[in-house]
Amino acid sequence: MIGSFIVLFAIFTFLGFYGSRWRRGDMGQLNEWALAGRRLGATLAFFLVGADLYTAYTFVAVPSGVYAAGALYAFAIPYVAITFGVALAFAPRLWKISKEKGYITGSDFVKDRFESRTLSILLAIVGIVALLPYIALQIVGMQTVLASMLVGIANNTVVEEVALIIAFIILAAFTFTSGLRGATLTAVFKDILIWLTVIVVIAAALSEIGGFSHVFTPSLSAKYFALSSPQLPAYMSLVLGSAMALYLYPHAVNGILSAESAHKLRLSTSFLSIYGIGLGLLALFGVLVYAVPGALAMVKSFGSGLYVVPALILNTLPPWLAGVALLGIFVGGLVPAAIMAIAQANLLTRNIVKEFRPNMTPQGETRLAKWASAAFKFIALAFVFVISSTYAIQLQLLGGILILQLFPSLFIGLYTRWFKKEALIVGLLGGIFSGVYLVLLANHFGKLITSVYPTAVGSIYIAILSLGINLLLTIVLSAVIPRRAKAEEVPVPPTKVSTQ
Amino acid sequence: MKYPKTGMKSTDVVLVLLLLIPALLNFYAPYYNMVNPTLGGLPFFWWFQILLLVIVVPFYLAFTYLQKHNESAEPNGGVTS
Repeated sequence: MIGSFIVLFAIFTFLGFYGSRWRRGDMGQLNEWALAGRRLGATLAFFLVGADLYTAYTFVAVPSGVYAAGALYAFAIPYVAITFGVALAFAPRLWKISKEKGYITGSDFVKDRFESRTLSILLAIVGIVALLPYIALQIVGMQTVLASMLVGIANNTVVEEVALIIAFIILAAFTFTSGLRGATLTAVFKDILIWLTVIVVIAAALSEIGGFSHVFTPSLSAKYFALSSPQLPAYMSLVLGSAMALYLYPHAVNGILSAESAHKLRLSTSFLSIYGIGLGLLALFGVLVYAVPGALAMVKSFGSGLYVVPALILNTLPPWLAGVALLGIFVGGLVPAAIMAIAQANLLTRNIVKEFRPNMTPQGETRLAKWASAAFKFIALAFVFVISSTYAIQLQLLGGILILQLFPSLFIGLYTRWFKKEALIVGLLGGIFSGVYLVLLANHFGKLITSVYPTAVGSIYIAILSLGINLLLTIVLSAVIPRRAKAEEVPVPPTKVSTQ
Repeated sequence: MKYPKTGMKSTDVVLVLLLLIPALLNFYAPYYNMVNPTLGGLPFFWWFQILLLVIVVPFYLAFTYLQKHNESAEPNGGVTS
């Protein structure tokens, strides 16, 4: 098992390094390292965005949530179906405007659109911070895979700690060397492994169990069959909040902007929900595990639902194939984490540091970006320790609460200039602070186990509540603040002055 | 709104519906939140949501090709920024 894992990992690493040479541009240029030179066609854009979106969240966090809490965490399925509709509504327009004006981040767009450097910097900061827990989730996923292979070598606590260190080192080294090209090539490889894994495991497990009717038996708790009525508001708000948030992430914006044309972008997006079928089946693994005693015992020995998928793999597949499948999950965390870290570094150099040091050389910029991405991963690591591992999905939901606050400026702003920059800034801050405060309140200032907050109409995903506060502030203030003839902030280059 | 374009055209309405319908089908959970009919032992709640992932694709494809058609009609590609 470990043999096939290592052989495939060697191939994967080769692809990562080869990728940095493939269709080579000048890797000293930031948009070459970070946007692959904006030359990805429909197929590659499909794989890149697929890699962005189907991550340790899908392979580890969702099945774990389903295992522990039941049907509630199936919200990930309709979320995936809707999020591509949201993408179709906003992403191609962002692509076009960006292409026309040469933007390579969401902050670039906002800075120009609302003539506000402050808003642009805030957007970059929120983007970077929101990605930290998401990256942490990928690290947790990689750790889980390694720990499940090393089980028995030492006691489980030691195994998990060693696994975490190895996972982290591999991630840092991989990001540093490959850039977006490398990540895209490896994404194709990763997706093939993932599909293979999902199909093989579900077939093997079902043939062993004898079909779903032996899983969904009367002895199984009702919470796995469907939702209880009180869960509906939480379910629907988690679907909506997650779907609206996904494409606001800096790495998703990166994915959008690296497409070759708006049509190709739409075309690949249209098919992406098909990917969600794999996610749906993986979510079901959280129920399936109850019918496979060997796998269930392993999950219980670690005391964490994260081990659902690895345990099913190890208990239903022959060892060599298990190694292949586990590698699929491992790189399923690694590739997205690298893509996210690249996006963070891109924002830091281009939209924060360069604002204050405009004379940086392109080489200096790229060097800073690479080192920053390594530093951010250390900060992400800290998030690993603030969650209860079975509920690692909360890391992604926390990221969602933060990133959704960009919706008014980055997405609604694509269609209207009516919002005032001051209003957007106050709204954004109001959304962020209320979001963080409600998260702390909902979890009683302890470990993160929930992202919903009880309201009069039932529990609601905090991202939606905070977006409500954000929008309210933005709209009311935009209506109240008089429009000035000229922008107040001087340093903004006079690209295109609003004519209203 | 102080951002007038040429106003809503009928194709715009169709475009909005092509995204809104799949969104509502997925979002409004109460109508699919039930156990029966099961499919191969799988509760309705589960298999229907997985089926919806396929159902949305023709909507999204129709949106994509309608947009392409619109854009070839407008020389600036619809960007009014």
